[in-house]
Amino acid sequence: MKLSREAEAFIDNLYLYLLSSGKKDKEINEIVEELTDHLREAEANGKNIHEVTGESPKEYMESLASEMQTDLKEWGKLLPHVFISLIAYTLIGKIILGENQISLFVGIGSIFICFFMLGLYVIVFRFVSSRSISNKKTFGLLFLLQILLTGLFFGLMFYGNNYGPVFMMDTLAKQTIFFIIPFAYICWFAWWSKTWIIFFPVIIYLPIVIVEPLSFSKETKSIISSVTLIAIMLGYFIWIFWKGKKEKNAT
Amino acid sequence: MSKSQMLKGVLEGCLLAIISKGEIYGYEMIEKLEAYGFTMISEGSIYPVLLRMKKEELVTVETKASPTGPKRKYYSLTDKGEKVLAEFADTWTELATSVHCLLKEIKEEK
Repeated sequence: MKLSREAEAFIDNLYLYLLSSGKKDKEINEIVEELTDHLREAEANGKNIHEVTGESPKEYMESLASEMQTDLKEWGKLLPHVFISLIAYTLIGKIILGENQISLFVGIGSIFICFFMLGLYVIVFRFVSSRSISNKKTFGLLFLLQILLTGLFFGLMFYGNNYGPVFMMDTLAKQTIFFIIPFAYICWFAWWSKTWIIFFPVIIYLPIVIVEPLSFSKETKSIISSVTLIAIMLGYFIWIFWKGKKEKNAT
Repeated sequence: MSKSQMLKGVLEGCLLAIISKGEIYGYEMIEKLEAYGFTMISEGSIYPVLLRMKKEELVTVETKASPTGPKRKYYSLTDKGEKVLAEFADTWTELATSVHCLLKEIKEEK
């Protein structure tokens, strides 16, 4: 028997809540599986989800989380990859943009933005998962975060290069190395984490590549590419929304 | 004090007692508890307690395929769990006797 939509939403939220609380993957999967099984049996016997979770699902999630080990090691393992992939994206971007220098300011700025956004994502995930917020609002919030993240990076890329010590990538050999190594790393990281979303930031550079051969001024080009990027992201958002709606209608 | 709050403190002991009858999984525990009249707890509240009991090595968990399909976690008592259960039974008997005596006296005085 299938779970009711309310029960399924609770399970999804619990998973997200425990994940963003830094619990161990294995323990999360175990408790989620056990509760799914319990809910399935309870609903088959005509019980309602509130008889299982009590009046406050949020308090119930907290009581589970407090008995589970927080595993910062798992996050610790992921963090260096986040930083390295960030550097990889930056390098790939530079080669694509035809820039031949790396600025220390941009490097440090990227790491700073990354920390800031990671914290923000964790806060938003915990907020969204512990209160039953509708999917539409969740997508809205995540989309805002995505825009903020992209915006911060764009700002840094466009204005950050004017400061600080720089490293030159002026020969073809250097440029090839600085493209192939980061790209290989991203491919490996995507394979290792089994998420193709890793390639998403590379798409950011796509509009720039498309606009590059056109004979406009530098400013016009950057405006066109920003607009194209926003259009791509809006399209992506609408597509997800439309898909979600279709699934809703199907059930 | 609400019934469920009162039960919170003794839930661990009750679960130990139920598990001591032989290996059992979560939903079955709830059915047994209900059969004994424990209808005041929310069903899910056994899982945080089970997690803690596992951490304290009072129970062991074995994952097995159930007859109806999905894999299930079956709990059974460890030696330490048996000991804690015996202690709980003693404490409970003592407490119950005291509370009973006290309430009886009050009733008689009225």
